[in-house]
Amino acid sequence: MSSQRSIPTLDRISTLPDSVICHILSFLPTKQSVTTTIISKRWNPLWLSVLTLDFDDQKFSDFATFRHLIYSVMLARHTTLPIQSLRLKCGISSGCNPYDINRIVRAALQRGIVNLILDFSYTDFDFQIGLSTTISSVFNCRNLVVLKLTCLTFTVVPQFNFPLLKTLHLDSVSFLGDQNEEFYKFVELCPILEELQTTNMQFWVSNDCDNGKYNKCFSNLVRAKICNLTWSWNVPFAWICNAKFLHIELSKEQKVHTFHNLTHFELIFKSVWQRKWNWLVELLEHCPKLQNLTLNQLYGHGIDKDNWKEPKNVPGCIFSQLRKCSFIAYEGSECEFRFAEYILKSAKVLRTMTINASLVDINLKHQMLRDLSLCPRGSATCKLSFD
Amino acid sequence: MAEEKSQASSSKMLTLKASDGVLFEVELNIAKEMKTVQAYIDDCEDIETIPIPNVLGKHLAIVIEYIKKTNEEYDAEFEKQWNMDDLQLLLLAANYLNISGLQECLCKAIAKRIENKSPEYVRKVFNIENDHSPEEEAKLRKEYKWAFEGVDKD
Repeated sequence: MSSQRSIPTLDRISTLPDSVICHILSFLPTKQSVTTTIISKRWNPLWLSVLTLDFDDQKFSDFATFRHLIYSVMLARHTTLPIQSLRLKCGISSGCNPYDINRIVRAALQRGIVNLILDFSYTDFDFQIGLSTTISSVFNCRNLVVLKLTCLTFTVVPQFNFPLLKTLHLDSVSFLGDQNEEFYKFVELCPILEELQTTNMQFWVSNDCDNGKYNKCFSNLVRAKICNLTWSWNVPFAWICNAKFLHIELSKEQKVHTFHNLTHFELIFKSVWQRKWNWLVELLEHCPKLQNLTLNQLYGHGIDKDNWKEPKNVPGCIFSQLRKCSFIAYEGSECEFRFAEYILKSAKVLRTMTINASLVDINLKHQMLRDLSLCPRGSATCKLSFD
Repeated sequence: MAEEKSQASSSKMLTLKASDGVLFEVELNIAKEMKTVQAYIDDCEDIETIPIPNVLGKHLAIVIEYIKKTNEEYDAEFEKQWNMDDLQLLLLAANYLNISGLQECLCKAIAKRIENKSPEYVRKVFNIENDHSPEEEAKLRKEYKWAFEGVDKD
């Protein structure tokens, strides 16, 4: 047998080229990355070659110290060394002000940034209004491939063009004008967008199908995640209908669109409403390629307002595509059970059905498992598993 | 010697031989993800068994599995299974075999395990010898005082 065994006392990292160590450092907060300079003579200069900067003022009691860190890093680095990625999170340290932020962001953006993450959580409206220069600088940046913005208020959306943008995350970003109109610009001007995530964003998407302008979609979209809509807001289904992977939080019935490429769908129900079950079937009829379905809190909290009515025709995807179906926060209500039973008997290529019922009493869980195990299965290879 | 077969297909199969003699039969398109192996094939067209001298069978198996299964879900769970020792050895393997996706995944995982830890901790975890004299180190700590503020020894 071989004599080579892993010896815990060996310094293996040092056998790797500088570029790999820098690659590791690029995932660390910059403050920590700087401290690696004392590790050894070899590590001494490495942090200076890292192309990613990550600043978070969370552990800083005052903004002045935080600002000093940022300026010191920028000065220590070689002036011609680009900044490929910048993550800047601030707002919690005392004395944090938007004017310094504007200056920092503007200076950083001149160094060829491709990935930009700005997070102003914990700041208020007045602070965010002061960031208009930051917003202009960001929207002037045509090379962006990744853009993630948290807690920003746009009084005006500047002219922009993001021909290379592949990932866009917007969290609590508000447009003082017409939300739809402003956000719609992203649909038009991010032609190759592949990943979209929105949290706490307000879309007044009309259910009027004839409004062609707002029915344009991101044509290259692969993944979309829409979270934290309050009950009155709509999910902009028309914009994301080309996605292969969807994760959507729902608070009310939405107009159904056809999802031609959808293979993985995770739906989180934040409330119950009339016709929920039949709406769900109608939705599934419009997902011809769906292979993986996850239903979270399908029962919801409150009285089940509807009865499950078995549909006349089995939706195509359930019959011939669905391979995996999962229920999260399953409570065993009558309608939930009937729906699960329907899937089990109608899905001919189903491989797994997973039930997560962590909120339920253990004896009740055994009962549920038994009831479901007794249901006839349309697929011979289907495994039922309980969490 | 253990022998592992990948799924039968009409594409050409290659044998990779790990440093401890373990053999792996893989499809050509899987092997090509390892740029080092690709270069080997380009140089010697008729080769059937390629030696991988720097990587143990145990780790080569993990690498091959990664190439076959990699996707967003798999990558997110991948690193959780391995201890720091294995992560480092896998990174060495990924670097030698020149597999950029795996290298990225491992660098991220290693960084996660040392995040917000002191330089002393990082030295210990990687077994790096400190060749700075106490005076040199003190000078560096002073020069970068602004980075060392608030860093606790663990």
